[in-house]
This record gives sequence, structure tokens and C-alpha cells, in this order.
Amino acid sequence: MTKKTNDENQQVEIDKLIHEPARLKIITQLYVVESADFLFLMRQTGLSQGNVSGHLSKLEDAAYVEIKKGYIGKRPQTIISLTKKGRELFKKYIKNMRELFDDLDE
Amino acid sequence: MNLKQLEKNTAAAIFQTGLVEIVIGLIWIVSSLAMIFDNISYYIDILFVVPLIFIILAIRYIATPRMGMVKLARKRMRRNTWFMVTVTAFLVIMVILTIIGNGHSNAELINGRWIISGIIFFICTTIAYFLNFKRMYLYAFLFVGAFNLSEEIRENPGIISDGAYVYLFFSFVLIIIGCVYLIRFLKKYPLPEKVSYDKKN
Repeated sequence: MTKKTNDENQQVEIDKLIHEPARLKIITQLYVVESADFLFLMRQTGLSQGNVSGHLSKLEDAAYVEIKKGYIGKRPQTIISLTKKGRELFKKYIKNMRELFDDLDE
Repeated sequence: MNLKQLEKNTAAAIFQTGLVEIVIGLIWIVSSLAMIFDNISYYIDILFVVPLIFIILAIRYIATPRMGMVKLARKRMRRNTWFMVTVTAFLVIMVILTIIGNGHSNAELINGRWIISGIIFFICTTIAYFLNFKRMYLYAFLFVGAFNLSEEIRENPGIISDGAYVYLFFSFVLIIIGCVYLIRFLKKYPLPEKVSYDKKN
């Protein structure tokens, strides 16, 4: 494994759309499942309805997540999943974060 | 951030409802009643449908409206399927061994209490490990304890003539534990008024 110099590390790009704490929670949760509904995301992340909606909108606009609306009986249901792009970019984000802290002493 | 742990916790989300304990308890009650009332066990066996209906309705009307729905990762689904197949195969082998053992000269060895206790313990701890259902470690001791106490009473009948009463008692203990977890779940996750995604512009 080649160690990067500090100069190289400074060039590591962190995806700001993922890096925001609330969005990171949402994406992380979606990364470990195939899909989840809106309520499940709210419960697991501990975020409010408005918060989840707001962040999902941004993620949807950037094509990081796919949102499907439907009904179960009379109850509306929103199913959310990470797109292929979102999944790849999250993997890249993890890799970049690891590289960023790679040279730090404990 | 530990993605592996998060995935495990997500897959184990259903266990916080206590519904699993209640269902196991109900199945155990029906089994115990079938053992106690051996002469009418055919009719009692019909009651096995009760836990099945209970879990379907409870997930639909209690768990899902409060905690939402999730489709687990394919890898996890495959793993769970293989796990269930393995446990079922193990149980079938156990039953076959028991049936063969009944007419065999080594019946005592095959039906040995320690072997069955070991199998019960193995199945419970495997479930606990693979499904991340940590309380099942404790129930492993409960099930093995109930089995041994029941066998003891069967061999040395005293006030309680039938060891099946022990199972009945422990099944109620399990249901009480399940109810405590269910109440905690209902308090933690009250029914949301209306939850829907509204796109923000």
C-alpha cells in the first residue's frame, strides 16, 4: 500500500452532500438495506419528518436516492432506496474519509 | 460508524417489539395443552393457528404502523434463508433420531437428556448469534432448564403429575417478558398521526 503525502491528502474531495450529519445518517441507513419506507428512516435516524423530507429532496435531486410513492390499502407509503450512483458515491466517500485520516496519529 | 453493526441492528429491529417472545410463548402453551390433554390433542392442535394469526396481525397492525417497513439487503435475506433451512434440517434430523431411537437398543443414548438439552441450547444460541437476537442467549438457558425440570418431574412425579405444566409455566414467563417489551415499544414508538414524504423545493 502506498502512503500518500500530506499534499495529496489535502486534495481528497469530500462529498458535501453526503458529509452533512443528518444526510449521512440517512444514507448510511439506506446503504445497509435494499429499501426502507419513510417512517422506518425517521425512526432509525431519529430525525423529524420535516428534516427527513428536506434532506431526501436534496438527495433525490442529486439522484443519490430513488423515491417511490404508493399505497398499502388506504395508507400512503413512500419507499426509498439508494441509487447505483448513490451507492457508489457513498463507497467513494468512505474510501476518501479513510484516506483523509490514514496518516493521523492516534 | 460501524456499518456491519448498523446492518445487524436494522435486521434485528423487529425483536424490540417483544412479539417474538409472545408468539413462542403461545406456541409453547398450545404444545403444553396438547401434552396435558393428550386424549383431545387432535382438537388442541388446531389452536396452533392462533400464534400464526397473531404474528401476522401484530406485525401488520402494531409493528409496521409504528416503526415502518424495511426490505433487508439481499445478502442478509439469503443468509437468513440458509439459516432457517439449516435449523429446520437440524430439527428434522433430531426428530428422525428420536423416532429411530425409540425402538432401538441404544434408545437411552439417542434419547439422552443431555443430547436434547445440547441440541436445544445449540439451536437457541445459533439463532441468537445469526439473527442478532441477544435475548435468545438467555432463553437458551430457560428452554434447557424447562426441558430438564419437566423430565425430572416426569421421572419423579410428585405434586405436579405432568411435566408439561412446567412448560406451561415457562411459556407464561416468556409471554410476560414479551408483553413488557411490547409495552416499552408502544411507549417508545407511538402511532404517528400522518407520516408522508413531501418534496421540498
